Amino acid sequence: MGFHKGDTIELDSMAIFRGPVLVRNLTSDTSVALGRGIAQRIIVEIIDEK
Amino acid sequence: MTKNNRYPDVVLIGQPNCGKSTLFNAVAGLKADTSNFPGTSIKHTHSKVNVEGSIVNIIDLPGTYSLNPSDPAEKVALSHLFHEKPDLIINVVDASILGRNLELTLELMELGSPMIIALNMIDLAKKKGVEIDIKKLEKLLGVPVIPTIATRGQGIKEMLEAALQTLGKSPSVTPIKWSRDVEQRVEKLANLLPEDFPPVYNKRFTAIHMIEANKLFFDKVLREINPKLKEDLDRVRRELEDMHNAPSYEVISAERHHLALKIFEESSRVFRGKRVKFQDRLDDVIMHPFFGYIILLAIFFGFFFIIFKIGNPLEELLLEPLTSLRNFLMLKLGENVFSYLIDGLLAGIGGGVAIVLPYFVPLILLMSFLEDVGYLARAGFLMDTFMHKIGLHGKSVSPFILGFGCNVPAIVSTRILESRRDRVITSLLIPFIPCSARTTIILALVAFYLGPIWAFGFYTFNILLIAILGRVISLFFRTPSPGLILEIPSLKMPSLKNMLKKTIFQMKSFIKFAWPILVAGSIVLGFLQYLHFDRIINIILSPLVEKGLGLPQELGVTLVFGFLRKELSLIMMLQALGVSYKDLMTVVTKEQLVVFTVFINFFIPCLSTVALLWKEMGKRIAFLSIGLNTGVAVILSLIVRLILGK
Ligand SMILES: Nc1nc2c(ncn2[C@@H]2O[C@H](COP(=O)(O)OP(=O)(O)OP(=O)(O)O)[C@@H](O)[C@H]2O)c(=O)[nH]1
Ligand SMILES: [Mg+2]
Repeated sequence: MGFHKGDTIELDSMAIFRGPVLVRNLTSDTSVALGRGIAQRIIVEIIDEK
Repeated sequence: MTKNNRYPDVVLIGQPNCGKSTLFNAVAGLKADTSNFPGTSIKHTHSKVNVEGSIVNIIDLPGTYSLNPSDPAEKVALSHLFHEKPDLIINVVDASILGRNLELTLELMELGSPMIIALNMIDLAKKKGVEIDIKKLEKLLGVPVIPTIATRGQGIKEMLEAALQTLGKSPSVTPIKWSRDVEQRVEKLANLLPEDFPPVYNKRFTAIHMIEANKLFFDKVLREINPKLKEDLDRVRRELEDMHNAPSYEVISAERHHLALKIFEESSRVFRGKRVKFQDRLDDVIMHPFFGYIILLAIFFGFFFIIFKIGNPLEELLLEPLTSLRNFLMLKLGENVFSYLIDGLLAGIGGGVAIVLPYFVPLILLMSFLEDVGYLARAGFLMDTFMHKIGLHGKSVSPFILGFGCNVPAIVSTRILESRRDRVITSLLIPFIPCSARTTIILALVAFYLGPIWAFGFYTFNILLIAILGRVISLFFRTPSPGLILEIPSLKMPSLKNMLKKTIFQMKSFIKFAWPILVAGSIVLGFLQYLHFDRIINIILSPLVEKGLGLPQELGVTLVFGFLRKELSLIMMLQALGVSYKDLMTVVTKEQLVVFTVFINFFIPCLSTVALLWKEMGKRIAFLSIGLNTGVAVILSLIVRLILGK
């Protein structure tokens, strides 16, 4: 669904009770809601903006 | 659908939510469902159109992110592409997320078939601060690019002209080459394909898809039929993997990704505007873990309130003349078979106009507003937590949301769920979702006589019940459900024109399919009343209706007819009791009204839903569903009767 190795992503929102997370892909400028189980399998490297 | 018609096939292909169906409707007249929610189209719709004298067959397909499908709706798109081999591909591209959309474009170009690009949503792109140099894009891709705004019908004419031109010339598309090392490997494999190996579209495309193929099954088959080729394939894959230190299918998709981004960067300039910030901030609030739910509730409540505030006075206004007319005719005609039939006819026609439409129209209008803004996907995100709590797949969110409009397409859309378990649970629950017909009844009965707060409470209770049922049903299926993956489309300002069009479309289908049933049903009831046959049915049902539910005996017959069409119960109720809408409360009590509404609301939704369940899920599930609905309807209305006393 347009997530690729090396894309920059941003965590936008988390639903309550371990619900899905909203992940924003800054490279392709799209947002995807992901269940926690799936989100956990994404490996991220943290880049600090501020 | 078959190839032997003489008209050329033109297919609209693109990623989900890029506006294919809107474009299709702009060309072919309103036929396909559209909404700002990825995955709206689940099957293909086609239509013959006359473009300046030549007839072409235009086909709208479900959106697909790539040519390696994951969900069944995506497979529909692909099987069409592979089996029917269209004469022209119109690749619809969402200009506001051009970078990602181009990945599919590049993949389509690998087919080498004639193709043009409809660069849709350029209005949104502009608002986002993305300026696309069309000429440059055209040159980089080597494919005609036509800017369009589907919602306003802009660029449609140019697109059709370009389509005709391309059809006439049928030039093949040359795929854009990737980095040398990857390209060499693909070429190597393509050349190793034996002469008798059936290529799909062309050798390069076949080779690419062999490398990308879903490994286990494909590899096993290939090893059986051509072990030598399998070895070659493995060698090429290994070379790619060693070079890039990643699985070979990832190497290929990364190639497309980088190429797409490169073309995007070379052809567009991005000025990040204020608007984007504003939209992001709005989204932060809408999807906030606390405020998000408050807003959800507020929208939900407001939704009811507005529909009621519009529908209620309208209904009173329309009922007045109808009641007088009926009274007048009754006096004139006296008691004979005619008067019964004509009264039935009037009840059916009038009920449709005066009771159903005043609520139905604002409901559809507001619903299409929420759809087009893009709120539904956001509500899906917020609701997913609860879906999991009741043991459902996050993906069930979309069939559920569709169900509020009509249960029938909702059940079709359970096809997007991969596992049978999820499909069964979701299909069993959908008939409990108050569709627009039932919402109309809740509004016309509960809100009209008892006030909107009651209707809101009723609705909330309905949703709670679905949650409990879901929990109970999923106890029988022990496998845990996988998580949600749902793209959240950008918020869009809905166009009034589009909303009106959709509403008119829905109204037309109401008039065409539902209304005749209402009219016919009412006439039949009139006839039965004349023969006093209705009494026999009522007496047979009286143990349930009178003893059990504590309702007037006359209502028995309406419950039987109600399963044809929900609104029929409502109209027949008045007819059976022999009162006008205004005077209903003189013959039934509040408690009886609530019990009646509970029963018809939870009883089987309608004939079409059951028929479709049968077709999609099989006889067993259809009967299970009927049993479940009947059981719940009886038990609940009994409980409600006990609670409300008497
Ligand atoms: N602003 C703007 N909105 C558009 C345009 N074209 C379509 N839309 C809106 O975008 C949303 C999606 O349109 P659809 O036609 O349902 O998209 P689709 O590609 O058929 O989507 P799927 O069937 O889900 O793959 C709808 O709410 C449309 O009203 C456009 O050119 N400009
Ligand atoms: Mg569509």
